[in-house]
Amino acid sequence: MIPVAVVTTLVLVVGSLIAPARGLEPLARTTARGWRWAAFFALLFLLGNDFWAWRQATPLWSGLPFWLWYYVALILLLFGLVVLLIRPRRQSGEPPPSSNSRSRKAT
Amino acid sequence: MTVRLLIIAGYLLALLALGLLARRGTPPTHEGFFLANRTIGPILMFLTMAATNFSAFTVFGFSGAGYRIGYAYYPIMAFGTGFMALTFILIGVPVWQAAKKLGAVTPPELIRLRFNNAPLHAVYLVVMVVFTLPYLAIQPMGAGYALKGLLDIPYVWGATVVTAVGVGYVLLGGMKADVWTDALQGVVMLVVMLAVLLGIAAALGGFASANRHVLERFPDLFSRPGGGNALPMSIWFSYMALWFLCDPMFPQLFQRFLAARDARSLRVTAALYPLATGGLFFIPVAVGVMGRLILPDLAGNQTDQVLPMVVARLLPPWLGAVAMAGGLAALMSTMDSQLLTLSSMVVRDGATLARTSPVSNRRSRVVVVLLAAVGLVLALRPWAPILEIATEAFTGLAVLFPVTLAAVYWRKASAGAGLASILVGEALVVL
Repeated sequence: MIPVAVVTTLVLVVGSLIAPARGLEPLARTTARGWRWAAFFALLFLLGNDFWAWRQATPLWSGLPFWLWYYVALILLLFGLVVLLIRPRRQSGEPPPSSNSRSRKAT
Repeated sequence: MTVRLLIIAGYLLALLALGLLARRGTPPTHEGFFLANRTIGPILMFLTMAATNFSAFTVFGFSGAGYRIGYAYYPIMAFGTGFMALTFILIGVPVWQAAKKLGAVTPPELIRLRFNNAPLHAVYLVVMVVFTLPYLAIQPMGAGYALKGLLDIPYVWGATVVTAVGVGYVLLGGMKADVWTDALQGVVMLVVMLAVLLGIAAALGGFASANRHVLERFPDLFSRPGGGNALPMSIWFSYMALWFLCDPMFPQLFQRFLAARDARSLRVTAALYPLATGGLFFIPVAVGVMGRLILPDLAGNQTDQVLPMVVARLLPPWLGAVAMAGGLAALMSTMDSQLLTLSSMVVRDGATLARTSPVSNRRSRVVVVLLAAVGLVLALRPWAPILEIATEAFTGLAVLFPVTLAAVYWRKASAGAGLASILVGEALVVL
């Protein structure tokens, strides 16, 4: 799978650099914030390859090997990070949502 | 036997009734039939995405893999697929915005509008259809196994009945019926699978105790690379990456991006998804592992039947029937979505490429029936274990990922290079 993905991506990138598209717009734009989040998630993905625990079967906790609980923790961490990623962002100086809604009611 | 039959029949009839209800208020347009008029909110989006992605492969393939490979199979599926949900934000949100603006209904249609290139459109379409068909065939295969194990009816009849019911509610209500039944099926799947795990663990003397016994007899099921040395480090890493690359390229998931009511629906789905994969995927793998204790001699395709066999052996008949309803929920929720999406692509993209007007929803329904027949015929003679068939299909679809990501973010990405990358990638997959 990995060799196929690498070759496919290389063909696309090299081909597009040699003869780039003209007059076409992408569907979205990347942002500095997006790249920062990508770095966090790339690190998390690497942690999902725990080759240091290879061939370990014990100890067990509640009938399951420790390395499996490590993945339960990673899944919870992933959930937490995505929640942080999608939370609504306030512009600097903007009041918190609750006081904002109160002030709207007042007016 | 009568109780089991009644439970399964009642469940299938409930699905048809939901399809009938969904028929009301569905506009007679392609957007109405194929995308539920782009009105799916966060909770329904989460449930339909989960139910659509969790298939016969999840229930029968995972339990078979748990039986052969052991717990090593859990992280590559649960964490790998949970991680994949990031693509709902990375690709799903921009794709939803663009499709709404451009009026696109199918994934290949959006690619055509982005690159303005017919050959790329055609190849993208062909790849999606060709590699989804084997995955579609897995669903009636799972149905055949389930009903054979539970009701002792012939494999062919089980596969045919379940396919007919799935086709029935898709014909009635299109995407709206699909999403409503997915919501029901998602909940049924979760509750039932949990009950199955608890029931089997109790029958084997408790979860921890049963696992300690498996560890004593089959220690390789508790460590990597797993039973049969199935997951060496390179394969492990490949699987971890595979889901991120291929799952959003499943046309039935991709099309759901286009059906969202707003961006928030996709973002909330992305957040909840890792919890769903982390919880639900554990159950069939654990059942497969514990199944080694009572059925130690299964081999090849037989291992995909370990869950219904264990259920039939250890659980009371009514709970066994409920359990199989959960298994059917998983496979039917995928099959219906695949049929609808494939039909939309054949009808709309086929018409665009042939330079004719798109056909009516009535003819789209005929295409749904024809595609279901193709899936059923492919399922009549399973040519490999479910895991093997699925992995081939997934790799073929993953080849589309670089072009799709480039379509979203890269201005310089050209149609010619995209076309070449798909053709080279598929050649490597086939060879």
